[in-house]
Amino acid sequence: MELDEAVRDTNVQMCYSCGKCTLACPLTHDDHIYSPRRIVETILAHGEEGISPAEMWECLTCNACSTYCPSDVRFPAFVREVRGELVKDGSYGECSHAGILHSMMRLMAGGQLKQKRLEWLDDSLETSPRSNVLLFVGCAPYYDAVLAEHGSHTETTKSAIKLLNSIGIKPRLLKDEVCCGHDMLWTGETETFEDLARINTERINKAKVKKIIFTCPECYDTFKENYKDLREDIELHHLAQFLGDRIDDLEFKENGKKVTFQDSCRLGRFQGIYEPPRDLLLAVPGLELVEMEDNRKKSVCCGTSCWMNCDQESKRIQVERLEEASTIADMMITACPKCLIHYRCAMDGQSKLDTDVKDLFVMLAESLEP
Amino acid sequence: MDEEEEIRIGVYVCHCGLNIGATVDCEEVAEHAKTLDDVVYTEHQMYTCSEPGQQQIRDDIKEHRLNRVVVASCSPKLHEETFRNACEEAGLNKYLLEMANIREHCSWVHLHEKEGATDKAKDLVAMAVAKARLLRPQIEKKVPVKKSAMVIGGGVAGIQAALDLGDCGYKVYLVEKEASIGGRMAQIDKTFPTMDCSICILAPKMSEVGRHPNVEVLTNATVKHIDGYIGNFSVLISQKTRYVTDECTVCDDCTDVCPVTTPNEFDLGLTTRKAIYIPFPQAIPSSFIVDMDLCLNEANVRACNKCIEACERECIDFDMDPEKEIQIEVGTIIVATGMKTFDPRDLEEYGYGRYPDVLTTLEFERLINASGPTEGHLIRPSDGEQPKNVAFIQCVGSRTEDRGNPYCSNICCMETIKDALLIKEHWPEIEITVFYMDIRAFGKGFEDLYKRARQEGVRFIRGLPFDIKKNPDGTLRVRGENTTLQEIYESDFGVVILSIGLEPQDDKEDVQRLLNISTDSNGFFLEAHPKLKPIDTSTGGVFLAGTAEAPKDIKESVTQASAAAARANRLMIRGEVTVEALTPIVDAELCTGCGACEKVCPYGAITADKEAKLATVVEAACTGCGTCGAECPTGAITMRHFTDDQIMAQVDHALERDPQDKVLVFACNWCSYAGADLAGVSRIQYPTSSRVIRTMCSGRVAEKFVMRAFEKGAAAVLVSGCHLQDCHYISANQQTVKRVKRWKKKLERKGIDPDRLQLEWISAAEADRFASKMKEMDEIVSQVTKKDISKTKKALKAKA
Repeated sequence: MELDEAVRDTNVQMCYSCGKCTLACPLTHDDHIYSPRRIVETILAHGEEGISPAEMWECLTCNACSTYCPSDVRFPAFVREVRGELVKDGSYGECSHAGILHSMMRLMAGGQLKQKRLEWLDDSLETSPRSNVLLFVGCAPYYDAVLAEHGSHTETTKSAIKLLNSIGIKPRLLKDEVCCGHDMLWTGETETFEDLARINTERINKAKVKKIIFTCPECYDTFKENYKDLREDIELHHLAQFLGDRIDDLEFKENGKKVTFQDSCRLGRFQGIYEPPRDLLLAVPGLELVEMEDNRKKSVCCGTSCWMNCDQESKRIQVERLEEASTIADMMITACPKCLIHYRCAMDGQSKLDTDVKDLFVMLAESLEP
Repeated sequence: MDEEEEIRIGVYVCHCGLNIGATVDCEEVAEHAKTLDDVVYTEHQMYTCSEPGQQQIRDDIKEHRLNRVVVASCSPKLHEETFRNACEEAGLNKYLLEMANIREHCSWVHLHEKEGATDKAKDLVAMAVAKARLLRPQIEKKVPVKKSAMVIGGGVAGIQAALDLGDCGYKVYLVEKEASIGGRMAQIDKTFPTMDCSICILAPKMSEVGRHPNVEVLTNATVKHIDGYIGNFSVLISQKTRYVTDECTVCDDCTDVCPVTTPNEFDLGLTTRKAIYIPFPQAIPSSFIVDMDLCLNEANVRACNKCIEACERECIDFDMDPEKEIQIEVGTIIVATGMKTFDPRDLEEYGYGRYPDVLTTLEFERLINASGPTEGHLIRPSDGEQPKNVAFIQCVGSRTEDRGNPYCSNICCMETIKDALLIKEHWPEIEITVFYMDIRAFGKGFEDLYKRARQEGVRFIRGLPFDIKKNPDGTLRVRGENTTLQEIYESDFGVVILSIGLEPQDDKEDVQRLLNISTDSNGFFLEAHPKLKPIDTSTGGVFLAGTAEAPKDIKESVTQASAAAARANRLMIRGEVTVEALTPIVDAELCTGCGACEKVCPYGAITADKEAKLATVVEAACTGCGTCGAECPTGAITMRHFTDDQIMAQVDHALERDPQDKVLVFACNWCSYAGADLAGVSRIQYPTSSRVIRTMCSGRVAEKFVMRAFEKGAAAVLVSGCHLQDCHYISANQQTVKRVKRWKKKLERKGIDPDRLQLEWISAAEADRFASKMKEMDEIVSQVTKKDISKTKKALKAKA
């Protein structure tokens, strides 16, 4: 395998072995050490023999390690490359939800699937097939089918449209978009990712839009970093950032809630968008925003990624975070659908947790002046 | 020289051991040189710069009656002087030597492309031979060197340099922007590796320099402007007034009554001072000063009289001019402007600025100093109690890619070890832990000190803390990985000390521009050569001392200061220096007195008389940049040693073979040529397509050189020089900007892709930038088609 190349491209050989990453990693706690430092040292010493597949699949790719690394070692990117090779050898991570979400992604990658993607649209939402602003819907309709017990996810998309409508934008929606491929990319199924990226790229390039707006940070990050053939003149925006630049055009009604914001990995550490969601929350009159101790680039990952390796470690991370949120706020707000699903899942059966988790855009749309 | 004289050129191709020889086939290059016009003798040698190598040149000049010598070896910046001397010793004027840079610009940057590199070396030699055929002997002008010096910066390096030069008998101006000399060393408690009391060894030097009959200490003063050249600098200094006369006896009566309090910078804000104050007890000049930014009085407004009333000797005078200008003339300048320390606030995980018990090493120096805020007691700033245990964290802001500085700051390991021992000396019961990545104890006596710290029980744990959090009891919890044991530590400390690195001063760019010197990629001032001219800068007569050049400790700073003084003395003791014969000659027959040259000269060194139809060069003011030569519409100006004919010959020979595969690069002597040299020294690889022609300034590059290159079929041309603000000739490269814009338009008008002509600023430190520009130019070459080139040739010929 091309281990040497992966080592070079992701700066792995620059590790000074300072050990900051070990404590930065949310998987490290009293009884368990996850040390990117030791992992890369072992691989540098022993090559392929030094790779532990279990450790490669355990990584949450949340980028906390890399954020604190003095040598700019891009460990998550390294893990992604190695996973690609592991998959070729038949090693996979443990899929959650019986792997149905992964199966759907692979199905979409065929490009032939006739999807009922926009059934949830109703008359109150204004969209336009001629608009040059595209709203990338992402997998929300699929989550509604598979993960209905954790609430409605098209609710986020609907809220996004309402918010855009309120500032005079009628977005265009594509009937035939497919999954952005984020999870396939990060679980080593590189070819499936390439297929998905190609399909979306072709359909969007043909659609002649000027801007694409995303509600999901993973779609946004994947388009930005990994869609190499997308037309260069298309602007990409996460909705939080897009609305954050237009705060003066938004009018919100009073909301006396005390909330805290959970920064997601892709929006925060990957794309550096920390303030726009907070600015938007603070634009709601009466709303009080309090911070958890570890916030912004120090924020803690929601515990699982890519619908994979969800176990008691994930639950520990999620419950600890929710406990902290519940002691300081009425509600945890997040701008990532996966954070939302994971925390809602963790709250089931945790009756002592006196808190709620809500999507940023749902919260904002509810607060819009009628 | 007789115009009819037969030209006899000797070409020497140096293998430089394997440095050139392993990549370039030197024998083949020498053989090729034989085929060139007027070459009568060629040789390839292992080391041309060695004594036998030089002897051979001297012998051959006589034996083969050589009257031009071409050496193909390293950069002329390294050995031009060597070979010029060899020529002179054999009776040949030194301006009859030309060098081809086949090491830094060829073998070192094309390590794996033997064929391409050999081919390029042949071209570089052919270009040098072509220029050599047209070289003329020159007589160098001698200029007097003033026997006076300016030292900028009054830290220990500046003080040492000033004392050494003062002792030699020269008049020295020591310029310091703060109210007292002393610099960082005055703030430090003890030094390493010997635990000397810092101020005890510095204070005598401070007062010595203050009293020295040859040294004039100018505090509160900054350099505003510098004119002139080696041996003859005119310096304008601006000095802020102290509002306190020399009669001051430092009795302290004024501070007792002053109502304004502010954080004391000398104690890093750990104590306060008044608006009238003395920076520290040993300050030189030993006198109070009024901080007018804080004093209640302003110009023409007298709001408070308290200090005046308290001063029995009537030393305080608010009617003094707030600022005075001082004009001085000096022969040499020593830059000892020092450094600042890294601000660890950006590493928010360590809580500096948020937790009062997280300190920096410099703050610790003040805390443990007998005249510091706690009279030498180590206390927790939060509650005044003595801590039971102390942690040091290494590499804070050092050796990090984007959260500080990429370099090792050199002093922090020993600083921490010394501080740990100081604590152990006073309070053996305090437990000390040092968290580190690597301990670098490389200097004389350093390892002994490190061993002593271990003997005294200081714990060294490999693994930097991830974060620091405050416990409910006020102690600080430090968490990280012990990478040796591969286990987590979570330890509580009373005080955590961050071992912070050193950074260039904020005003480094001002100093850089005043003196026309360069900075390295980290912002420290760049030496003329990293090994052999570590004290000199690229500006003649300007030398470096202390941490302005790189992070270093006191001993190294003092050593470098004495070395800088010795380099300055070497110039001044002779009282005169020769300057290169690069000034222009005006042909009275061709000159129309149009004044185009006068308009572009940055020095006002050429004046045109319209009536007499003649331009005249003021030799003493001219620095030889050549921008007048590039502007002259009639070709009346001949730039000595960089004549139009010589450069045109270089262009022609660079493009003699396969011009469609080549990039012609014009590089200025000071920045981009040096940047290309650094790319070689750093072995940064780039394609072999480039052929570099050196000019003193990018302002020398004339339209006809560029157009000739395209006419000859070059795929692309690059003009490169110093960054706009950093031009070695004030603003000559501003002309380059205008001209390149014009030439691009002209190319476009003629249907030639203007992107084939590029302009790029590359500093002497930007080796990476040079290499990546070469790659970019190579890409352009690959896109230019044969058809484009024949079209270009036709379009340009049509005009001719």
